[in-house]
Amino acid sequence: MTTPHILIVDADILVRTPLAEYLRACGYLVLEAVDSVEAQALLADKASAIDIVLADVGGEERSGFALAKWIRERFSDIRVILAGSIAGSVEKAERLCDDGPALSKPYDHRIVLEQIQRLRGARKGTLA
Amino acid sequence: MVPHPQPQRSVARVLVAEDDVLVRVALAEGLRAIGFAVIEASCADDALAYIRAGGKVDLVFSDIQMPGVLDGRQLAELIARDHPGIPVILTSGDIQLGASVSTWLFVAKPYSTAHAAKLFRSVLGLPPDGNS
Repeated sequence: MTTPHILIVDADILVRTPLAEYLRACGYLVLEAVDSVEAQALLADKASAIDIVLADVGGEERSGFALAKWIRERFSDIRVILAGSIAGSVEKAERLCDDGPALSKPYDHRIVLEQIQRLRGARKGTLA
Repeated sequence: MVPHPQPQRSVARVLVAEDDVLVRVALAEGLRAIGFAVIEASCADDALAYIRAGGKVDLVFSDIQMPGVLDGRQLAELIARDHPGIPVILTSGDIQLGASVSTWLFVAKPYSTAHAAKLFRSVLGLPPDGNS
């Protein structure tokens, strides 16, 4: 069984790093990007190795939505989870995400983990 | 079944500050594969924010030229002033820049993960070939 690969896209090193370390400690291989530009560069280079993208909706630019759309148009196997703390962004993310609900920030690491497990289970056609 | 995080044994924590995501991720993945814990920063400002927030770091490996308020040399100076226990190693593809930062250890790009890891182990006083 291959190690699941998660790409976290979040500009805040103080948010991204603890979540990435938590998921690594749970056995996932975690890649990190600070924004959509970095995420797209990584996906162009390693798309076949990435199973799930967990992306912050973003600040004023809401670039996470555009990233999710970009991924869905190119990589149908990659599941996307959007996370946001701005009023309304979580609801919009729910409509855009594969399997909603989207995640609210600040992250509860345990809930992130459960959501990843649920997506992995759905991908295999089984319950996680 | 939801996996639980496994307790982490004590490992050397290297903060890599590099704005080229493919270079940064390749080095980070290579270092993790041989036992280092790696914190990734895309600029010197983020690296300093992580350290100032109390993030545990044993060694900083930073590119010199990066976007943001601080460059790698300024980051090294601030760490030397405020966190003298954290060694800093600088890197750049510009050899002349390297010659201008002789106060710090310098690694010219391109470098191999093995070369970087060997230097990190030496600076941290770790066995040359063991897991970190």
